[in-house]
Amino acid sequence: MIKTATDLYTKAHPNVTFALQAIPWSDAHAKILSAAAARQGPDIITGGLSWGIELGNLGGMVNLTKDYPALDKQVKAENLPGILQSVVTPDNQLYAMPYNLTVQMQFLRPDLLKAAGVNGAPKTWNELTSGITKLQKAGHKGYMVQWGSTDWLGYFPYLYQAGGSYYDKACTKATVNSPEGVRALTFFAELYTKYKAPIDAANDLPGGLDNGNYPIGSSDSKFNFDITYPKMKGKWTLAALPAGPTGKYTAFLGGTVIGIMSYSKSKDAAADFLKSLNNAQVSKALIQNAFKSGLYFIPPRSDFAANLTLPADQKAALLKQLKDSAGPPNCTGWEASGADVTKAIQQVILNKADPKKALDQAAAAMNANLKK
Amino acid sequence: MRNDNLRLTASADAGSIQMGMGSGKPARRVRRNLTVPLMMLVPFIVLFAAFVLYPVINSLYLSFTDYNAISQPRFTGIENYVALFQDPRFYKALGNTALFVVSVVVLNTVLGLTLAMVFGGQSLWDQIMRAVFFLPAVAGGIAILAVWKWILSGESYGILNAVRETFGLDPIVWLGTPSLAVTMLVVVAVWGGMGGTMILFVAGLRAIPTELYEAAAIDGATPSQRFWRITLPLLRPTMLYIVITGTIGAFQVFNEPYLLFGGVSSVGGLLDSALTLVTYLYDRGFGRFQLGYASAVAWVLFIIVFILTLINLRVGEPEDRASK
Repeated sequence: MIKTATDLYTKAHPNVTFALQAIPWSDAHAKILSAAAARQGPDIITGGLSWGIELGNLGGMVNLTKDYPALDKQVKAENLPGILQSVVTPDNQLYAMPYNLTVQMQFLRPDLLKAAGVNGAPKTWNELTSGITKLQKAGHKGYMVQWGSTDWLGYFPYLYQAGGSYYDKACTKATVNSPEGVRALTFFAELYTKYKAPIDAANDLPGGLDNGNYPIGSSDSKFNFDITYPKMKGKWTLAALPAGPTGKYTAFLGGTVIGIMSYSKSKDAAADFLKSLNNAQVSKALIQNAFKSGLYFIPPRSDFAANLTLPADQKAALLKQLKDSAGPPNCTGWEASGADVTKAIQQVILNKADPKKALDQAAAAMNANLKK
Repeated sequence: MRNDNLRLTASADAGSIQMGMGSGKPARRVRRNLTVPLMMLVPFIVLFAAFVLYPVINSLYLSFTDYNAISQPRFTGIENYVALFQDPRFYKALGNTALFVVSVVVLNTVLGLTLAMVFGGQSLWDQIMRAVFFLPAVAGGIAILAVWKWILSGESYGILNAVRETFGLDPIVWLGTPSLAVTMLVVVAVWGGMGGTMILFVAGLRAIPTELYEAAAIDGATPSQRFWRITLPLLRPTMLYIVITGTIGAFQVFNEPYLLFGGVSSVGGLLDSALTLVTYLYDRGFGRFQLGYASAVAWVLFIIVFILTLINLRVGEPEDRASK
């Protein structure tokens, strides 16, 4: 996808050349770490939202706040607040800027929902569970969590919708074991234990929507099933997540960041390229080329995201969800703590552990990681 | 007897070469004799030192440091080892790995030997069957695991569940049931490994002189007695090789648990049910930048494998040599 942006940049700057290398997501973290350790490799990298802070704190990435203040100011002024809180350190340093976004959403088959007596996309937790019950009575399997099944990522929206969070705002202590956190975990676990959401390492939501087993589910918003599942064209749609007891319908906001490696000998040229990504024309070209490949490229600016070529109902739902979404915590030690939260979630779902006790254990591990 | 003769001949040849080399002082003669061989060994020694010796020694040093790959390592003494032996995830990984190793080594050996006994002949049918059972060993590892992921999918389109459904049975979430995780790893590993083991046993079986079986048959030995008294004892070197290399390989298992069970925030599947020592090492080293801690895991793994190999060698020694 990024070739679209580099081609446009090269057209305007013929003296600059790019050598692009695609790395599988599963290997990218280790490879970029190895490049940072060896101090040789790519000048610019794209990677997970938390990688900028992680590598920046280790001295592996250029501090954009310090070295390129104009770019830093532009990013902080124009990008969605939900994504900024994940990529800016607690002391306001930016090491890598958001490149594209993906957000959790509901994927639905309105025809099957209607036939089962479910009136449109569930808008609250109660509507979700009653909808699942109706679907199961009609012979469907029910609801599927694809992105983050039995994981901290799948639990994330319910935690925020219940009014909770992983840490306090100043990142001084873990708050996942708050009453809101316990309520969220109780509900999330019931989706599996009571409402029989599938527990598998590789849930296939598009397949479930296509064959009708799962007429509703949650996943990330980067897929355009009109192209990847042509038989489903016109039969599926998107909706914002159901709201929790606070009325919030917060979703997990993922995506990638782009930054400059600290060993780069072409830092200024790299920073200029990063700046070019904030151009409306570049953003539009990225959106259009991704769409042709069956993917949605969602820029980190809501004004650019409005250029997405989607059916009106899907676009409205996506823009609505982007307004109430949040990225992963930016606190020290979060990378190591995700596994502890996941363990607590799985103990509740699989071993019927007490949610409060499980989250207390996770919070203790998170607090220990905060001090490292 | 034949071996002794050979050794004597070789020794005499070497002596004659040295004699012919000249009449200098013995020390200078030895130096001159070693110069060419050593020069020829230099490329290997340099590569071995750079890519094996140095990393191994460096990893031992790193295991006593706090190191994130980018900043300089900070010496912390035995802190990593203390933390490791207090870490419940390490014990979970160790337990899973031990169960995996024992199951895979035993099943691979037993099934490999059984296949070799059944399909070890020269007929066309035996050759076809050997090729069929050996195929998984030569097929690509990652691609095969992608197929296994499909076979073991918890949905009804998973091949195994589709078969179950034809018999009216409910689908099973093969990769999402913690109690089945190690079993699934063992099934995949044994399926991929027993063909190779079979080939080694076939070679071992063919090296056994047929006269022994003929003499035993004349003496009235039953097939079972011939198996236990002739086949198994004479297969001891092959068996020892298979058990030692199998144990080392099984301790290093990574692809299967990583690709079948890895998730967003955990490499070990649900409740770390498929966490193994090497995936844990990878998680700490390359997932969390704790390379000092990961090096400590690697050294503990090395010590375990080293001790088990010594035990295997001792147990596998011929009885006459073991008793000396």
